[in-house]
Amino acid sequence: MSNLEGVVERFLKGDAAAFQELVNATSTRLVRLSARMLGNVADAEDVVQEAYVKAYRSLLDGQFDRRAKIETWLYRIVVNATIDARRKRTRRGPAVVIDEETAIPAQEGQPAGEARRALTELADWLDDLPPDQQAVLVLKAVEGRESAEIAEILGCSEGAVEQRLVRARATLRQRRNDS
Amino acid sequence: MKDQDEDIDRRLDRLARATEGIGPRPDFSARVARAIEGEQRGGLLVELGRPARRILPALALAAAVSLVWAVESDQAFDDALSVYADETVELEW
Repeated sequence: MSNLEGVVERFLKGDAAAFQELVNATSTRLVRLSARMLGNVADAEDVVQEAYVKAYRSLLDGQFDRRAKIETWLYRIVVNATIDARRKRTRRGPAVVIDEETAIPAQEGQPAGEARRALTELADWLDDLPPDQQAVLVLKAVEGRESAEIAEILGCSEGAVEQRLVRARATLRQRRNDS
Repeated sequence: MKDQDEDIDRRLDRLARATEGIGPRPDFSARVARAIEGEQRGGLLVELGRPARRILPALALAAAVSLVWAVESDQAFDDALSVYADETVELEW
């Protein structure tokens, strides 16, 4: 049993503090993933916070069946919530400009401005892709996840993951040729 | 096409590296903890609401019985008054 699975086990046995351990162990990766899809950290924090609340409720209700690893399950919740947030944002119109200076802490050897620009560039570049293709591209080419794990996160087959990757690349190539 | 794919991969790789250090703000864990506390309070209200929902049909039945009783009582009172009125009419000088 991995460390995180052990943490979940303790939580389910009544150790309420264990959930906070789960948050501390996974929040950086989950917020980064959501930010890479949404283009800013503040929106990503909102999405991931809601995802944790949902996960908390689901764990207590016994909806986590342990067929997947806890981290894969959390990734699934966050990816779905991020796709929903993107759809809502598309319906609402352009996002409200927020103060990303405070949302992206300066990193060692890397100015916060560079990360902010890279997030915006990534989100703008992938904006025209359908959400499922964008999710696959970010998980595979940016996060470096294996196709099998991506398939588990998205609840589809490995073949569907590969197909979405091919389509995403074709769309990006086409757009590059058009411009 | 392969060159173009390499371009795409190179750009994705650059953007991945540039965003590698991104994470939540330092107060994020505390923020999640507060949201969970709110969820626990909400959950408690739901738990308290469950018994109330269980006795709702009984309360509705009691309300219906009360209404019938009130209407019948009103009718009986009207009947009593009308008898009294009749008696008054009979007591003519």
